[in-house]
Amino acid sequence: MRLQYKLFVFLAILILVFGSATIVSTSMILKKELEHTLIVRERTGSEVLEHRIFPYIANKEYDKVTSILFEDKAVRKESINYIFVNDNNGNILAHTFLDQIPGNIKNRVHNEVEDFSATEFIINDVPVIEIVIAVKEGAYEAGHLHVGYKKEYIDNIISRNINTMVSILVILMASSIILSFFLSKFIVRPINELSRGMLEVSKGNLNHRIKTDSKDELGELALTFKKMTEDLRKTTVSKDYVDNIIRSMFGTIVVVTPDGQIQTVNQATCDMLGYKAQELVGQPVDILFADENIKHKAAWFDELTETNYVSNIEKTYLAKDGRRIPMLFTGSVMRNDNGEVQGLVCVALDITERKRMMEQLKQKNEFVRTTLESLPYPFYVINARDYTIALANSAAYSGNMGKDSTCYALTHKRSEPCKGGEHECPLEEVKRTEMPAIVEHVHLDMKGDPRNVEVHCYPIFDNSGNVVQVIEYSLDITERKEAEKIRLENLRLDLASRTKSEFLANMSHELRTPLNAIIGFCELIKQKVHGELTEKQEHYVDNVLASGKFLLNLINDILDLSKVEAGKIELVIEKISLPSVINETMNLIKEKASKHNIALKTVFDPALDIIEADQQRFKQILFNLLSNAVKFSKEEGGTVTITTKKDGDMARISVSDTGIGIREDDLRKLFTEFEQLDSGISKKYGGTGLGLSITKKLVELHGGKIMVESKAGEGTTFTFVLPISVRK
Amino acid sequence: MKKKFSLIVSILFVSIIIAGCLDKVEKEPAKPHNANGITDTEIIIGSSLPLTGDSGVIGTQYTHGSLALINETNAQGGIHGRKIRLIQYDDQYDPVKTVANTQKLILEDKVFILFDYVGTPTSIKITDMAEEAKIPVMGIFSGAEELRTPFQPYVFNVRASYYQETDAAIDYFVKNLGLKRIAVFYQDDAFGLAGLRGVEIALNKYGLKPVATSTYISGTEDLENARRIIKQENPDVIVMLGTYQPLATFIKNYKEQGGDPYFYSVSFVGADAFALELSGKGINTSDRIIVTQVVPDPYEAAAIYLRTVQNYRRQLAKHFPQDEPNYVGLEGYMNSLILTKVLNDTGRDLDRNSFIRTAESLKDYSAGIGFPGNYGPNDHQAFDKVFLSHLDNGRFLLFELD
Repeated sequence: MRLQYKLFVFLAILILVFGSATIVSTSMILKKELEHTLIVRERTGSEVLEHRIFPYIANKEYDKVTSILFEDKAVRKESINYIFVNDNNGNILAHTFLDQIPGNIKNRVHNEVEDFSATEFIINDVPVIEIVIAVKEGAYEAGHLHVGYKKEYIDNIISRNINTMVSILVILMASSIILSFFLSKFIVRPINELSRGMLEVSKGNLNHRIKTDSKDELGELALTFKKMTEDLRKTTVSKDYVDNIIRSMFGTIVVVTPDGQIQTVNQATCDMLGYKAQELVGQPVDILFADENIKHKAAWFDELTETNYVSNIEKTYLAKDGRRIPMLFTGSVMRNDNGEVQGLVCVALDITERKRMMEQLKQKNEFVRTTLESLPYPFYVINARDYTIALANSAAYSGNMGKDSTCYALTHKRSEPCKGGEHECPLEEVKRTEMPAIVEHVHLDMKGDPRNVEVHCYPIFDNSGNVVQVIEYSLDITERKEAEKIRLENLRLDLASRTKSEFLANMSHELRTPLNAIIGFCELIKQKVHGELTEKQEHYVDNVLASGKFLLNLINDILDLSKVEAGKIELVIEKISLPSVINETMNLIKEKASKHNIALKTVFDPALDIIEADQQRFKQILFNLLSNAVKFSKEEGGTVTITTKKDGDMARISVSDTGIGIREDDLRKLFTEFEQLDSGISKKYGGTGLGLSITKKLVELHGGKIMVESKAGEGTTFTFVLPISVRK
Repeated sequence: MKKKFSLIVSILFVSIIIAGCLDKVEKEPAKPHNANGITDTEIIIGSSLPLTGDSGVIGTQYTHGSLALINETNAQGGIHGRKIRLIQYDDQYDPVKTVANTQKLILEDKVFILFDYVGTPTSIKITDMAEEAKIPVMGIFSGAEELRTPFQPYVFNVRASYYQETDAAIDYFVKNLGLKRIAVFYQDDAFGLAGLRGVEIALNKYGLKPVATSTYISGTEDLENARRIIKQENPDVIVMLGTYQPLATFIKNYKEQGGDPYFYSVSFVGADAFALELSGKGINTSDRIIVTQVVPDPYEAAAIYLRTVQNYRRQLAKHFPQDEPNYVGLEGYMNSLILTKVLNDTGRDLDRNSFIRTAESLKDYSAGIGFPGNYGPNDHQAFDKVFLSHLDNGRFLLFELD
């Protein structure tokens, strides 16, 4: 039988024996204990009852006692079979019997004065446990209270409790037995494992490992055994191990004896030089080197024993077939424990390929250099950290600056980094966004003149993704930019002007037609041809008429202006008498002027009479100026003066008023379309804002000029000059 | 192989142990039933009720009503050859005496059933005894809920419950009259509290609560404090739960101090004694003094069309010529009606088991009062009907709702 099963059977029997013994003994103890506890508990209940009934017994109120007994019994009807009280002579005083009073309780006399007893009886064929309590107060004993508990009830409670306990114990036993099965397996397993491991090792299999996961004595034993096997394996395999290392090394290894003979070479050496190992071993080490001046071993061997170590020096090996192979050579001295030189270990790497690549790199750099130099525009690489120039072509770089010059010195002639300004430094932008950028910027050329440049920037990242350098090249776009600006401006102006004029001309016509109807019909209504109007209606019609007329004026003005601008007005030049035309014009404004309490005055230069002009347009010019002068008069009135003066071959006509004047700031805006000087004035004086603009255009059409002088609060003088005779 | 074997062994082992500890369920052997109270010539039944004291009038009226029919039945030869003998003990409405009397009836007189108990605090004391002795109690002058819920297997109620009475009255006041300010004046005992609960339940249906409650100690005449508490709230209706003398005094005092609310009492008050008491205090007619009844009125008019009322009046006149027909008596008469019906139906072979079985099978019994009686295995109340009556010329007459 295996150890595991022996152990299990042993444990199972142990558990069964002890378990059963526990069950039997505890059941017995528990039964006694429970019985006792229950009786004590019931006794307490009964003692309370005794206290309740005592006064009534003493007073011989036996009905009341009966009532209390029944009440008590009703509360505890599960457990109580009967209650009765008898006196010291055995006479029953009160009871709860309903079937019949059992014979064996009659005349029961308690000879000895007992306080409490519990006895088993059979009452009316039912087994009971009767608790007897003396009904007494001090020495006065009135009788005894007998409470019959159903034995069945008490037994039920006891057996229920015992059953529960037994069940729990049995379940515990069963689980212990199951557990012990696994436990025995668990204990025996590492022993099995260990013995299997020992068997393997004894067969010589040192690679066998035993599993140990327990931390107990067995675990320790297994661990020790494992360590022992491992140590054994380590020492046994060490020579092979070293050989393997040397064999598998990529670089060449040559071990040289102190007297300069090759002792060991590895396969890499043989492969590279084309020798077999036995061809080299025992030969002087010189055979390996192509370099003539180290042919003699003492030259470097002694040096090496002194320094113990040379590393990364370049030497040339000589192959069997005469090839010369550049090598990166490291040599070290091998000593024994006493410090005596045992040999030299030479490790060397073939650097043929590396040398070739470096040559290529050099050529590539040269190519790049040439390419950059060939570029006509400045090209440079800037170190992002300190703005120094890492690389620049001669277009960028005048040659008389040091290599450590900076981008701000180079492109802005500054002595310190730019601090931001109108444009963000493109370099900073690239650093921030980590994206290429094309920015228009102003750089100073080598002579120090500002140039508009288009700067192209590209970030260069290091391995961790930070911008370390920025490539920049700048295209000079100064000329291109100016040409572009002019072209765009022209295009814009042309388009705007043409569109506006055409639009205005068309729209004015479209507006005028319905407006005429509005005005016409309003006038009809106002004439009351078709019936009377109420005062209110008349007032409203007036409003409509006034608004309509204002609108018509506006549209007329617009139309005029657009005609002038679109070049559609043709002057009808004739000889006109200046004073008479002026007087005619003044007549048109007289009424309005007198309404505003304004006096009109003329001062004519007798030398000036006939000029060549379009009479209609001249009147328009003058009328516009006059109506402005009247319109912008002060509230108390004033004077408007028209003055003519011959000025060489020009006629100078001025209209002066004593009105509100124009602020200096506003004078410039005066002849612009739709400009009234401020919205306040516009509201107060009305007008379309087109009058002066048209006036100016008409004057210019005549080949003249218009000017204005004014002082706010004092008055304004408009002066226009026209050629006396129009040059054809 | 070995592993499997060991597993099977352990499973077998456990199952044997578990099987061994399963408990044997023991059943209590049924007790043999004693057919006590039955002889060849007699059926002895027992009653504990007030025959003297405050409630003596009610107890007497009640038992006279029952005896009218029992005597008549006996005079006509009894039931299946047996005459009914009713043993009565006076308990003066004292629960202590009720218990002692009942024990005596069961143990010494060995009555067949308990019959005609009066009062709530008294009768609820004996339900446990009845259950223990397995003796039916039939006909209790109480509508208390404790005698109905939880279901009492040995209590056979005849009349409707107080909850049904207060429910009908509150419906009348709130729904028909639109009165919502309702106060409760109750006797401080099991009966009063049961009535108060009934009122609260009925009011709760309408989302209402009593506006005031006050109590008086049973047997005292000190009602002034209770009256003052209720008067403060000036209610529309005062529900009164008590015996007739204090209630009549309460009404008289209340009216004297000003106020004319509705006064309402459940049937327990004993409508005739109550009316007499009120007459003695000068109150003869008032449609504001209301009593709910669980039987029709016992007067001439009802007797014309209700067979049982007619019988009651005739038999009462014959056996108790000095008595006037009254509500309480008619209720007692109904108890005997149900008792004799069940005894008749059970037959000569009579014991308590067969009596209970027969009673529980009573179905749509036409009792001659205008509504049928029903028992069932889980329904031990024969009638559910509730009437409203008001004081009319010295007695309470039923009135119809519009």
